[in-house]
Amino acid sequence: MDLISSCMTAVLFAAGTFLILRRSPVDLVLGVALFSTGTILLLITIGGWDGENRAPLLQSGDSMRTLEDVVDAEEQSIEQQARYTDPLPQALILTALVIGFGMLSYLIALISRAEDAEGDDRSSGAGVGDPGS
Amino acid sequence: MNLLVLPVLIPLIAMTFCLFFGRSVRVQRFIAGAAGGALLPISFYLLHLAAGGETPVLRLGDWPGSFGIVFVLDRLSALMLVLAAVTQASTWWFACLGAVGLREERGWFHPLFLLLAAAVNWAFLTADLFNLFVSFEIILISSYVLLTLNADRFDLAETIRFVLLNAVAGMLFLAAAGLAYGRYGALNFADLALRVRLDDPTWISVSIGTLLLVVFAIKAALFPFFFWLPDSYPRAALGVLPYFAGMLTKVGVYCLFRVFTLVFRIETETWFSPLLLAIAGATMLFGVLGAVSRWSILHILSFHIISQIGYMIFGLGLLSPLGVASGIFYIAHHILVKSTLFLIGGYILIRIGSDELKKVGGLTRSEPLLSLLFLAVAFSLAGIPPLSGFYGKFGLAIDGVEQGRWIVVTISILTSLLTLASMLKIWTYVFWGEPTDCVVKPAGKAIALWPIVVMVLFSIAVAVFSGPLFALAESAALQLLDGGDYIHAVLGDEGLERFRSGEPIGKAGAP
Repeated sequence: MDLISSCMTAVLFAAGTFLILRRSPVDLVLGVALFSTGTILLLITIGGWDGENRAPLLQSGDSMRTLEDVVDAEEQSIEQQARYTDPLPQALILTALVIGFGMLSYLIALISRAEDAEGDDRSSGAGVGDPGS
Repeated sequence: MNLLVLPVLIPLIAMTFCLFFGRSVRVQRFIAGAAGGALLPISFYLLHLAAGGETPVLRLGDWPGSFGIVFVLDRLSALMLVLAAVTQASTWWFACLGAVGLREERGWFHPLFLLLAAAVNWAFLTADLFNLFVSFEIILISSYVLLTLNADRFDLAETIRFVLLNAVAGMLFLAAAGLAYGRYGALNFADLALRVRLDDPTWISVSIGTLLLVVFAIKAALFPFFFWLPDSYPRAALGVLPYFAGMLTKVGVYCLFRVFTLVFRIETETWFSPLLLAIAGATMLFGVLGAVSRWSILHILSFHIISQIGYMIFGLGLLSPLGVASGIFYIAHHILVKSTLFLIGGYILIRIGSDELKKVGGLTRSEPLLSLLFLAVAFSLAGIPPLSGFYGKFGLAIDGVEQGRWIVVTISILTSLLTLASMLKIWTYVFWGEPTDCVVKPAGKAIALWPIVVMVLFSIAVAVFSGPLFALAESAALQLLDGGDYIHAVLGDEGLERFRSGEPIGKAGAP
């Protein structure tokens, strides 16, 4: 499973890079979207998903563990924890999704503004133009 | 040490208050100025603490070091906080004097600037990769908007390039942080430092390090990735440009200094150090060649940012106390001088209405004080001896020769000469000669010179007090290269013991 998702990540990164390098604005947006999907898939793979690990939630029968227990467990037994997927990569993914979505919508807005301005003679100046006064 | 949260919290709170007063630019100015003014004494006090040998640490929620969010202040981050506060205050002053158009200022200029400042301070204080990622994203989001505030005047193609490259860099950063976590089970710098050096095939840690190097190189505008900077910066709102020029790329430089001394120490010694030196040489050379070839003040100055960053990375690549100290001293000098130069460039653009070398001329007659100020910082940038730029370059050259890095030393001296040449180019075209039409009848509005005067005094003070300041840079470099203080601050006595003895902490690698 890890192998498949790793290969899939590589394909997504490659396709994203290819699309970003093209000139068309639509390709740009799609490229960024694929790139961020690739990143997220990579993080999911890092979190470990082999179909057997449980979600990191307390279920009936579990006892609440304090932080000291967790630290102890980290040093003592690996089997104890192996039943859970690691929650931290999922927290990373959540943040990445939010930021990625915001970025993508801003990029789309920017590109559509740039397209609107095309043909306007003010937009073709190569230099710096007038000050922000 | 709750004081550590203030450099982040004060601008954030001020930003929130600014949002309540969207209609009144005056109130927004006052709030932003009060926040900037409050940051100055706080950051100087923090520098005083750090210089005295303390390494204050703030554990949010009092979680143990490797689990929670931790803010750490060592000498380097304290120095960066002071420089950020000074640059922020002078840039705010410049903006309030009328460097920002009223329309832009109504378009949430002050809240965005405060958000940017909060995120920059956050990046200097945070002690883990993920918070660094988040602060980077906040820096970028606010700078995207600040870059496009006066966007209807220019085409947006350059801004799109800036957004695109930085978005990709952000995703690569996330991938690198995820890979580091997957391999070592930690995101905290101190924790990572303990685990990375125990990693046994080194190629894994080297490849994670390389990915981070690429990310920070994009942020810092290093050699193969600098092309986003020189054409997008001159388009930013003039009222925030000095802060952009002084601080944004330096956040990337700071991260390189932090990560490649503390976390990837062994990899840096064997693998990254020559690579960094090569990148530094190429960055200096290509940056300055770009500057020599341009014909407008802001474009020349933007290219100089790139070439100057080469010097800082040169210092990091040397990885000796003197080299890193010179690099840190150079960062301090560069931030003050570069933001002053951008204040001057912005002033000329506002007053005269143009910054094209061939259109503007004879400013010595109409603006004698400005000419004097420009001369002082321009020579300082080029590294003429009594001024502040000399000491960092001198230290780098001495250490480079001692380590036998002749090629990079030669490039750095050549770059200095070319820097001087391009500064003289600005001087001869813009300041000397007969006043041109647009100088005789300035199109723009009058604007006071005070922030520029104060910043020039600051950079002269750096030259006058170069002895104690270099001693501070040296102690910061020793602290960075040793790493013990940082690890002790985050992980306590036990962590420090393990760091010194080289034992593993916990098990490495979570899944």
